[in-house]
Formats: sequence, structure tokens, C-alpha cells
Amino acid sequence: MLTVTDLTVVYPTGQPAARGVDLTVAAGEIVALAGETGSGKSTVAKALLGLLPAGSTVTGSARLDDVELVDRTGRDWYGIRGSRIGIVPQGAMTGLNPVRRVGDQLVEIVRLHTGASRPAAIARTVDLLGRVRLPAATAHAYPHQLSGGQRQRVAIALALAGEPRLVVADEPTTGLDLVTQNHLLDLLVDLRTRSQVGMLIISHDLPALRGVADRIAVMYAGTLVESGPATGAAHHPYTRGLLAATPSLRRDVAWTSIPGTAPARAELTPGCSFAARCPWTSGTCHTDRPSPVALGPAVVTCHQPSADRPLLFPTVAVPPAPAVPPAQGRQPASPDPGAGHGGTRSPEADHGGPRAGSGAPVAVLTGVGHVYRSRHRRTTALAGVDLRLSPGTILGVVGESGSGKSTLGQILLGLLRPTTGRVEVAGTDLSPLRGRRLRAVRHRLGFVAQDPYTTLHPAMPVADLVAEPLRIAGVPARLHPDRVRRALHLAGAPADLLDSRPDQLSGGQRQRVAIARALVGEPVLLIADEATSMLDVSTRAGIASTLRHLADTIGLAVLFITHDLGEAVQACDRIVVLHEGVPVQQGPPRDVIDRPRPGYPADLVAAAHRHLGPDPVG
Amino acid sequence: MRAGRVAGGTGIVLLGALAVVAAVGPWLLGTDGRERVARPYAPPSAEHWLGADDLGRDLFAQLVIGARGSLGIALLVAVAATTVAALVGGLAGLVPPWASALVMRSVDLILALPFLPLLILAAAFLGPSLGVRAVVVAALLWAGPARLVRAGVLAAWSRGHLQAARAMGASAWYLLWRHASPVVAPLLVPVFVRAAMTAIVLDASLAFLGLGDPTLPSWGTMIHWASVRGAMLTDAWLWWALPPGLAIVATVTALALVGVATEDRLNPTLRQAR
Repeated sequence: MLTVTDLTVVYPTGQPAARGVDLTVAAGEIVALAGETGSGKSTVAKALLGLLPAGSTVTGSARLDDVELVDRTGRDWYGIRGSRIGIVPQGAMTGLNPVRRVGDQLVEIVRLHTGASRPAAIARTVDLLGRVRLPAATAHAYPHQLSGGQRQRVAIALALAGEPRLVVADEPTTGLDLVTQNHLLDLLVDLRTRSQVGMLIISHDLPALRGVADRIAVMYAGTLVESGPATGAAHHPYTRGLLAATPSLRRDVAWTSIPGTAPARAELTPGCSFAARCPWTSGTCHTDRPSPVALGPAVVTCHQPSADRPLLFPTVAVPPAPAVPPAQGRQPASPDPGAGHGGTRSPEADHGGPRAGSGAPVAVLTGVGHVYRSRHRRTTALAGVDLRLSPGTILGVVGESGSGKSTLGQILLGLLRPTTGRVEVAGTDLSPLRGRRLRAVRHRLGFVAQDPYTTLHPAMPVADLVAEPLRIAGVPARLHPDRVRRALHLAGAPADLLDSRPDQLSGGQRQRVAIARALVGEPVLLIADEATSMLDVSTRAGIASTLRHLADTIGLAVLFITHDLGEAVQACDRIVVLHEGVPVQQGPPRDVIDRPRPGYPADLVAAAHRHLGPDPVG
Repeated sequence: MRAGRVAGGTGIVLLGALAVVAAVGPWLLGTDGRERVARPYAPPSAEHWLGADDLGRDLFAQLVIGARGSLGIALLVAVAATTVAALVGGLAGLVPPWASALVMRSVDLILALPFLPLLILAAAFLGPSLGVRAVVVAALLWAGPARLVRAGVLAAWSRGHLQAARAMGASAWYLLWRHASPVVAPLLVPVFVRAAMTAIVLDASLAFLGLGDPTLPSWGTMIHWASVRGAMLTDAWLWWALPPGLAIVATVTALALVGVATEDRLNPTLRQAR
């Protein structure tokens, strides 16, 4: 139905964003286009919809049935966008008109595409809402009265309003919690089956798509590296790396990172664009551009594709459980020499063994609760939290947005005074402290924020950025260079970054600079608030292994706040599951996964299992 | 972007020329503009380029000397109003909500005052000296910008790097100095330019109404005397009232060009839009 051949997009700046992309979507088929930031996946979608910035050049062909989509401008798109191709744009759930009822917005689009009379359009709107499994009464609601998942359903209904043959959805589940994500993906599968539309789903979340898509296409640096059936094995080292970079709920399945960073755009290198990060490179990879090779039903753009050759990417050091053999097809967790973080941990640490208990706890929270009060309502952000953070252990706090996990970090830093309970950091009770003495406690803590793009002052070079805690704590300036260098080394950041400014660094490097900054004051406790969530999947495990290394070598206590259960399982010694501010389960990762408490923990574990899809074959 | 740069360049050149005239011009004149050097109501001649007023004083000399007064008051008012705005606005962004509300309500009060009538009253009662006029104008002009600065401080407060520094245990002064001021300082440039602009117009208006300093030539005073002494009824307005009027327009335009250009450069969303 949709046939894309040799599609190449060059942006007005002269940068190629996609090169020679071949893709097909059949009626009633779901094709997933996966890739990391800057891989060109959204560019391909925009090219199909004619939404590229003015001045971009598109060559090649994209045919929907008998209609050519390339080389159309302005009015040529009438009768195609919306009626032949439905669009669920990125961030559609925030893109609904906030001052108009959902029903009115649907009626408007239905009438635009079908020219139906108002009563007919209203009837059709009710039908559309039914198809996305929303009650008819939703039509009377304003967007802000709906949840994120409901709004995304409305966005899908809008895309279906013109009875399209093809629906293009750009990151339809991003920003929603796991349970809602799964419901939405189910809905897409159901819509496909019932009305035989073709779907192109664009997402960075490869594993989740394996469960719903029929075929998967993976992009890297503007080129399609692999496409094939979703259930088949992955052959390209990048695809396999991407799958292995998604933290599994099983600790015996290694969590790896792909070293290096992706090129920002499709740079014209003579060889394979992945060669710089690939563990299998040979001479030809750097000199000859690989051409697509058919491997059974799959097409792989690689000189030496393999479904079973070991990847040898750095892994997060987790002791392989002796009783369970390594997972089929995934390499056993081996400390990688290249990563330099080969520290292993005694299996007992899993159960709060000797090291976890050794030494005085660095922070103790007893019955901590916090209530946000505004003029009209009181919101309980936290209630009855009892925690104990010990040197050398990583405590994971898992919860969806709004579960109070960031509030917990703020309370530990003394930035927020809890309404109830007692917080003790490094043996000091925080509650009587004010002003200078409260700030002095913060000198002993390290904080890594979620967004590495805003947390670093854009005008300061790395050396100044990392030294900032020392300046604040009043450490003599002559001691700074040494300690900055040591902190950068501990954080796994190359020392030659010292003179760079943040905008010259990649996201992963920035986050390492942020970690170095948190370490430079020699803290007893590091608080990492969603420190990996803004990073590309392929680099997350690297950050986690750095934290593990720090806990093992310098005995740092880490509070690892995350929304990703798999990440917590892989990175932490103990996990606390927060739900609506209440710690609903606490224990070693294995206990939480194998014996989740009924209620929220059970739902979360089930959703995470479902989300990770069938056990990766790659 | 291109057009913005040209406009900014034109404004700067124009302002520079005016500043040079104001600084060195009076020394090159043979008169201080207050003594009788020609026949009253003399039309322009080779000796007196713009002729003379009703007392036989050289009008060109008055125009050059008037530049001093106008640019002087613009500078004084702009410095004073910007400083007060930065201090009050910055403080209002830092103090607890109730104190901030108190400050902002007094700002609202000042913004609600009718400017010109108040200025006329102040000039009439406090006397026409340059310093007094500058203080009165500045006292009225700081309020709007103070709001802007407060908003800037509040926006800076939510920035990631400032929050990170707070988590490191930085004091309020450190945050203000290292993290908030680089964000807020650029806001002050257009504030400064706009204050200067408004000051020139307000001061000229006062002088035109006869509330200027009668002992010192200024553009506003020139127009005032031109209209009072009947120059508007003859051709004399061409060399008596028009040149100071054009000078005011030129100065204000130059300032406006500089203001728009700096704002464009500092505001990233505007920069993208153009």
C-alpha cells in the first residue's frame, strides 16, 4: 500500500537527515520505525506527510497506492493529508485545543473531510469515540478534564476521522505511564485488525514495539540499518545493541550500553555510519558503505550481520546468578575491559548483605510525609516513608510521575521541609537547621538532575562547572584543579573536556559532567533524580554502571530515582516502589519482581513484563 | 536579522554623532547662546546659520548647547531608573511572597499615576533645575521595568542550573550573583534605552510648557519661546521651532533603533522569528 523507495531528505541547512530509505506498509499491517534521537525517523514521517520545513529537498519516491507523495506542495496535499493518511502528531495529547470541547473538535474534522451535515458528523463522532474505546460522554469534556491516555485516544480518533488508509503515529506513547502505554498499543492493534488500516508507528522504544508491530524498521544516523518481521531475530549490531540496552527485569540478562555517541545527522562518511561504535568492525566497515542484504525475511544493511555473534558491549556489572544459565542469544554478563567498570558485587548485597549493613547509615528517614498546600486544596505528595541509606549501596525509588519520588529527593537535600517525620543526613537531624547550617549539609550531598541540558550553566566551561560545589563550600581555589580532575575521572568523563562548554558535549557527556560535579565535594550520598531518562537508550547503562562502580569503590550511597522498573532492577541493591506518595513495597529487586504485593506493585511488574515484550532474541 | 543589524548600526552612529556634538560642540561656538549677537528675529545667514531669536541670540548655538541638556537628562534618568528597577525588581523576585506582593502593589500604584500632570505639578513646585527634573522623571519611570526584572528573576529561578546550585548549598547571594544576574542583566539594556527615550520626550514636553530652566538653552525651551514669541505666525518657525523638533525626533529614533536591535539580539524567540 505504502511503498517508499530510496527516500532521501536534505534539510535547508544542507544537512542530510535521511538517506536511501526503503520501506513498505501493507493494508492492515503495523510497521514500527524505531531509532534514537537524530536517527531521522521523524524526518521520514514528515516527508511522507509533507511537513518538512520549507526549503528541504526530498528525492526518491513514496507512493500510497497510486498517489505519489514526494514533490507535492501546498494545495496538492488536499484530499491526502487527513483523508488518505491520518496523523497522530508528536505530543498530540498536549496539542488539543484547550478551549473547545473534544466533540466540537472531532465534528469539525469530520465535516472538513467528509462534508457531512452537522447531525451526521455528530453521529460519526460518537462512533469514532467508540472505536477508540472512549464513552460517548467524552465529547462534552474539555481536554484538561481528560487524562493523558484519554487525550491520546482523542488524538487517534482525530486521525481516524477522515477514514484514512494509513495512520502515521509519531511517538504515540511517549510521556505516558506504562499501564496506559500498554492500553494504547492494544488499541492500535485492535484498530488495525478491525478496520484494516496500515500503521506506521514511530518510536524510540524498540522493545515495546516488538510486541505490537508486524514488522520493524530500525534507523541509525539517517539510514535504515535493518527491517524485518517483529518476531524474528535481530541481525544488525546496532539493533541488537539497542535491544540489549533496554534493562530487563531479570538480573541475569545483561544490561549493556553502546559506547560512543550517535552522529548528530547523517554525515557522509565513506564507510558504515555505525562503524565507529560497532564491536565487530573490520577494514571494509570504515571504507565501504554497506548495502542492504536479504537475510530470510529481513533486510540488513551491514557487512557482517549476525544473530548470535557475541556483542561485547560494556555491561552493567551484575553478578550472574549461578543457578540460572545465561539467557539464550544474549551474551552472559561479563565485565567489559573497555568500560573500565569491572567491579563486581557479592551476591549477598542483593539481600542487604554484610556491606549494605556495614557502617552507619548516611541518611535515615522516619515516617516522612509531605503535603503541598495551595489556597484551595491539599495534595499529599508523600506519606509514611521510612528509608535507610547505607554506604556502598544503591537504593532505587520507582514510581510514575506524581508518585512523590522527586519530592523525596528534595526533602533529603533539605530544599523542602517535610510536614511530618524526621530526616537525618550524615547523623544530623535536618529539622532544627536553618540558613547557613542547613546549606552546609548540602555540601555533603551530591545531586544529579534529570535534564543534562538545563542543569549546566551554558556559559561556564566544564572546569568551572565541576568546581562550583567547591567554590560554594569555600574550598581553597588551589585545591580545585586536582579535585575536578579526580571527579571527572570517577564520573567516567574524559579529562580533555575541561575547557569545553556544555553545548559542545553530547547528552551522555553532559550527564557525566553533572555527576562529576556532584562528586567533587566528596559527598556521602548521591541523589540521582531520573538521571538517565533524558538520555538515549544506548547510553543509559553506561551511567548506571558508573554509579555502581562508585558505590563499590568509594562506598558511595546512591538514591536512584527512576520511573523505569527495569532500570531499577538492574542498577539497585534495594527498591522502594512509590505510589501516590506511599511506599507500597520495599525490598531487593528479585523480591519485588518475583513476589510483587497485590495492587500497584503487581500491576507495575505485569505492565513492565508486557512492555518489554517477548524475550529478546537479539 | 540583517535589517535589524542595519537599524542598530544606524541608531548607534546617530547617537554617537549627537553625543559628540553635545560634548565638544559648545566649545567650538563663539557664544554661550545667552548673549545678544545679532538683530532680533534675524533670518538665517552665513554668520548665524539658523538666525536669531527675539532677543538676538544665536539659534544654532542654542540648538548645539540644547543637545547637552537633552542627552544629559536622558543619561541621568536612564541610569537612575534602571538602577532602581534592577534593585526593586530583583529584590521582589527574591523576598517571600507577601513582601513581593507589597512591592508589586506599590509598583501598580505608580503605574496608575497620570504622568504628565504629576510632572507639571512637581516641576512647578520643586523648581526647574536639571537634577530635580531628572529625579522626578526617574521616580516615575522605574516602576514598569521593575516588573520586568522581577519576572526575569522568577524565570531564572526555575532554571536547571540555578536549582542545581541550590542543591549544592549555595546561598541566595551566590545564586543571584552567579546564576540569576547573567540571565537578568541583558533585560536591562532595553530598559535603559527606553527610559532614556521617555525622559527626553517628557523633559521636552515640560520645557515646551514653560516649565524648563529658562537660564539654560534646551530643545524644549527653544520650541516654547518660538511659540510664545509668535514665530509660528511667520516663516521663522522654519529655523526656530523645526530644528529642535527634528533634533528630538532624531535622538528618540536613534534610541528606539538601538533598543529594538538589542532586544532582537537578546530574545532568542524573536531572533528565530525574523
